[in-house]
Amino acid sequence: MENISASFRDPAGYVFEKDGGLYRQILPYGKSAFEQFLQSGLAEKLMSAGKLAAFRLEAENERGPVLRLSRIPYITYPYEWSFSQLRDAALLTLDVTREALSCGMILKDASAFNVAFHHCRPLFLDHTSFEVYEEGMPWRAYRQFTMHFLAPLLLMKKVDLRCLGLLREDIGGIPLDLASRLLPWHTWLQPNPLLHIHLHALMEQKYSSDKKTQTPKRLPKKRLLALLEVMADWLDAMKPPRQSTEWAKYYSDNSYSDESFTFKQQAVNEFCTKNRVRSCIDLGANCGIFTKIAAEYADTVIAADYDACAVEALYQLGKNEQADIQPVLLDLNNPSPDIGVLNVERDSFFKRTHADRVLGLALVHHLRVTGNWSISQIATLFDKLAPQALIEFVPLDDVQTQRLTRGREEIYQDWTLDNFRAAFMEKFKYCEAKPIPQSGRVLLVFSK
Amino acid sequence: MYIDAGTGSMMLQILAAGFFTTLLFFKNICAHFKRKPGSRKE
Repeated sequence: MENISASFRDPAGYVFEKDGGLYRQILPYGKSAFEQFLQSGLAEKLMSAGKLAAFRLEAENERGPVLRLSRIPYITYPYEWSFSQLRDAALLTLDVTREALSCGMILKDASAFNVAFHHCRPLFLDHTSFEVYEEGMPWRAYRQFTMHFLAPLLLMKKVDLRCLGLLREDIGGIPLDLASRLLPWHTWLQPNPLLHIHLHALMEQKYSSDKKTQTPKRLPKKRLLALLEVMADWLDAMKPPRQSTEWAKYYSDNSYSDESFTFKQQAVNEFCTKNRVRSCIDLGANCGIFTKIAAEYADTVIAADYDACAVEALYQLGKNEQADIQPVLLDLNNPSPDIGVLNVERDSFFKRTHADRVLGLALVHHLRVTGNWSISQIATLFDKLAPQALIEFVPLDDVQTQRLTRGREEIYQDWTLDNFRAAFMEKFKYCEAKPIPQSGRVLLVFSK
Repeated sequence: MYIDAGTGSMMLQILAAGFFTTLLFFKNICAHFKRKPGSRKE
């Protein structure tokens, strides 16, 4: 039996793995709230609406009930999401809170880590996040909701999409005083940012230095529902910011001829049709042209890119195709590390990610030239991720590589097809090369 | 998971909820008058 380190904070229960299954132990502290969660019909209501991760009662021991949980194939963290993912996760959290209120319960925390994505739909994971609602009590999770959702969304919308990275810096959410300082001055004139961020930060500051313990005032349910409704309407209308980046349009503005592009598509198709697999990784997925092909022959496709606009496009693609595409905002030069308490609370990208096949198209020359990776490090990357790999080798004289080297070709003289293949053959067993017509590029299939 | 709700945050929430309740009230009145006579309420 192995406890899942991410659930250690909760006195109401914890998650563990046993014999390949995933379970949740409800502890005495959370038992009565959990019973209410079942008896009120809330659990059934949320599960049948596809809003809550499915579970069934497996057993009951001296400490409380044990639930068998359905496993989500791949978990991504909020700092790896696109703008729309974070917004949809926020909307789900508000929706679950409103549903809970209608059943006499309320969410006691509103962490973005309580949400995962399956088939590009947000799913609430934490079955012990519910407590019995007492008329007049304020929403205890409001502050956390603001720090985990509203502050990062506003910063992404009003400042820069890259502000999402602040969630990785602080696992507890973006501090409100910091968000208030970073947001542009005109947000003081807008009612939602003014109330939820700026005044919120000022109130926190005011009461943090107050030595008297304040008794929280009453908040009638009707008013609480109004607050939740206005926040949901505001978030629902919030569109992703328009930020044009080179990667989001990479394939509509590239150096491929029609023939070479068709060849590349066919080769990807051929590689993927060999057999249907559980999972596939598309590194440097851009707007997902090849992710879409991979998704036809894999249950889950982990589509990673370091560009926030590309990740947004991948999320929309997954939603439209109704495929289990898991967009991941990932900079391979600095991938998500192990973070949180004792560095075990949230796993690194490499700890979480292993698949049956991996695609690396128009990617490796960026790693070698922009990131200064050695060829052997590139081979290790693919070796770590999957036993089968399709990689596009882009030579030094290619126009895109030339753009990156900018006259520093002498540093990259080792960047040859022979060296590349040799480094990979230390990790893989078989290799097949397919030169792309009307181009110096070569598609390489490696397998073990 | 249990979290620190924060006194300042609770106070702000009560303030914000009051403000938004008033806002919703006027919004609903406007929506009522905007509705064409004879049309059904959704």
